[in-house]
Amino acid sequence: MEEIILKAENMFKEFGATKAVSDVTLELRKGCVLGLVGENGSGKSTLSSMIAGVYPPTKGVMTYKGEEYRPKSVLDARKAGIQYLTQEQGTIDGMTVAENMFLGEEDQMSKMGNVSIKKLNLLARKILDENGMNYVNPKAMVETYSFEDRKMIETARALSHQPAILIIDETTTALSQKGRERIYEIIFEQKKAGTAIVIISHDLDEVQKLCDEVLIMRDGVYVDTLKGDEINAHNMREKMIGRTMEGSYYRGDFECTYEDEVVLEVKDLSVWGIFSDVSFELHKGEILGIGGLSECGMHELLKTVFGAIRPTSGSVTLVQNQVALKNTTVSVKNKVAYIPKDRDKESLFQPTSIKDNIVASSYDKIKKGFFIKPSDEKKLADEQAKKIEVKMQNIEQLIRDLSGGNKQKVVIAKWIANESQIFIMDCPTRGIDIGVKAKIYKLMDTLKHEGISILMVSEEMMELIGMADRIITMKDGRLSKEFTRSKDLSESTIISAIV
Amino acid sequence: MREQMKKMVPVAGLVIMFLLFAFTTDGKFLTRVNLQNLIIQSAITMVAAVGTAFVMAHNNLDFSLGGACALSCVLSYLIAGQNLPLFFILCMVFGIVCGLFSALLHIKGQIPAFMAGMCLMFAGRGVAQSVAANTNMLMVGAASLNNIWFFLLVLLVVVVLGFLIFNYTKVGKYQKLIGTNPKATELSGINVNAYKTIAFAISGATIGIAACLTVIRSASIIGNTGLNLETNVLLALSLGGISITGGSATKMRSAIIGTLIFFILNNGLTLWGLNPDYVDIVKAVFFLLTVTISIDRSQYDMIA
Ligand SMILES: Nc1ncnc2c1ncn2[C@@H]1O[C@H](COP(=O)(O)OP(=O)(O)OP(=O)(O)O)[C@@H](O)[C@H]1O
Ligand SMILES: [Mg+2]
Repeated sequence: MEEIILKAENMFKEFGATKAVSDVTLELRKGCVLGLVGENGSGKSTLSSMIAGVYPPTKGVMTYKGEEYRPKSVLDARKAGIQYLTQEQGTIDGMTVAENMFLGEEDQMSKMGNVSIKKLNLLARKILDENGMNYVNPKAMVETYSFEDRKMIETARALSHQPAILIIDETTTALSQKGRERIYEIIFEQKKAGTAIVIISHDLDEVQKLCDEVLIMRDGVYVDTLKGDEINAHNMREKMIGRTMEGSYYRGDFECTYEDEVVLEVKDLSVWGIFSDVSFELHKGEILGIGGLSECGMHELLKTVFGAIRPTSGSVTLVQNQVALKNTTVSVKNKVAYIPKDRDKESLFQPTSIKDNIVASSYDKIKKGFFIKPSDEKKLADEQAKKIEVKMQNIEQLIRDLSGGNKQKVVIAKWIANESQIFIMDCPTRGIDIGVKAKIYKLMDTLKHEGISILMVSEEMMELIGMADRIITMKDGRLSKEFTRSKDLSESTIISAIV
Repeated sequence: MREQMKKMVPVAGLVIMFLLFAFTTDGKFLTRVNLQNLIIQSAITMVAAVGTAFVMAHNNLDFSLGGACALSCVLSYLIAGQNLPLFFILCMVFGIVCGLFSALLHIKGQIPAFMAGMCLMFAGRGVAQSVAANTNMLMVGAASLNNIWFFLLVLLVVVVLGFLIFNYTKVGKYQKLIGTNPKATELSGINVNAYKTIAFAISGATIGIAACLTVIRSASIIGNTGLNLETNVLLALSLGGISITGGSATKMRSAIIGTLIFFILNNGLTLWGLNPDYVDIVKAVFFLLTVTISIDRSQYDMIA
């Protein structure tokens, strides 16, 4: 067995009445990869946050390199050699890439001489190049890059410090295939260099592939540790949920079923430099999947269909009333919903309550005359939050205190609350545990049978194959192929159409 | 818990100050005349603060207040002369036009709203001073309304309306959503620019009302009409613990409590017989103190 580098014993963390982590003990070894799995809200991020100095444990002792370890802040932990890639966005808008990369380290830098912006930029350039990101400009504002690029910038920053411990919290599910593979490479290299690695992921195949050991949590409590051959999806699933899950969680049928009625027509849609001449029809009760590499333009395509990006040419029309979806207000008024990929930046109102987030698009529905009654807001939010089973204390709880998967449920609840008829979803199950995923798939199936249409982009091929009636693939900004739902459709067939 | 306590700071400050001056001024503070004066003085600032809160909620600052107030008065006088009802209506109209002008520059011209406001502040002041240099703008008729009941009535209507719109309508709720996350607001199907414009229109309307009250109080329009209104309003709102970056933490009560703190402090210190020059220094210290305690720092959390 390799040498233990960090030991966290009997860790507890309470947030008011919520017991996020209770009595969990964990050991990290040099050059070993530990997987941390559990359903949404089971306390994985909380446990990692304590190690990474985000906040102190309520109770518990950590020993790092043989000494007691009590980080006072994230910077403190980073200085000690512990790097944490969070589940949420870790870069700060309004600052350049280089400034983000050296945030909080100015004093260390100034020891090496004065901090000149020029030096910062040069150093950032070097680190980015070493990580194969020569297309990123250190002087550019960080928000001009995609979610994926920002995550990779964060990763590069973390690696530049040669960490002794690297914690990766649900980063891979936010990435395209290419980005994911890059992360796997990084993990492999770091492992060889003797770094202790923690991986938090809901992709159990990925966990199985990468981890030497897997620690399973449920409701903040330690369940079991799996080693070697014991690590497989079946075992992990069973321990996470506390019961066996039967069969697959996708749609049960393999028929391509939708009505003839076309509800949404996209015609020759182009956004200069991103995608061009995209045309398709969405039918009533259809789940239409779009697959491709992250840079193929599919994310922007969804935004354009929703009216958030102005197309250079082409049109998006609601067939029933011939309304053109030219901005988001028109779309929402006509019961079109959009669930963005970048949840934290584009769909959540972080410092507000679950209630405020759920009712944000439904005021027209609940207002009486000019005024909105607080009791109506409460009723609607409560109904929707309970229906989709958000794990919460009550609807007045702040959204930023929810676990990742529960945040996503709130976003979906918001659009069901205003009775949307067309759902545009960008990676709807990103960062969601298998239990919730199964619920969301079931919900999509129910919506479909109620005659609601879903346009879904996904980077998970199995999700597309499992859920969509039709799959359209995109490559370099153009539609490449179309597949109809069938038993025989395989992942490799689709991948060959997108790369 | 700490959050709860922070929220209480402005209220506690108000109560403590009230009691302090009530007991240390030999009863001068609590006389009817003094309290009436206090209300009349606060009214103009409070009315404007109620409107400004809408603009601050969506994370903008309105610096046009004083200039826009003077401009509305002068233009209305030039058109309406001594015709009081027409003068009042025009004041409101010009107030709203000033608000819309800021919104237009901010949204279509894509410049920060406070810059658009400053441009109005200087332009309005310039116009008022040049007109006042050649014209004697007396409004004797307005003086008949200069009594406590009229001021109380206007104040009550504005505060109640402001409170209702801010907390129980789309207009108010959307301002707070925009201030919290403009991108997510847009992607929720809310017309961000339209609702920002409405906030400026509301702010403009309260400037118009403030302008009417100013004229009623002084029975004339001079080059310095409405001077420092913007600073007073921003100070008052800050004393009331308003969230400087807007969003869900913005509360209408900041406008009311803040204005009262501001004027009670002014009034009490003067009753103590403090040299007016020192009054400003004490105000500055007090400002620093309350703001340091009660300001919402959540937006800095990420960096810490
Ligand atoms: N700052 C906080 N204040 C209050 N409650 C919190 C806070 N942070 C987390 N929690 C609660 O603690 C529990 C554990 O959350 P945590 O984020 O650790 O879950 P997780 O296992 O990472 O879930 P996910 O897979 O969804 O990311 C949840 O019930 C969550 O609501
Ligand atoms: Mg988490």
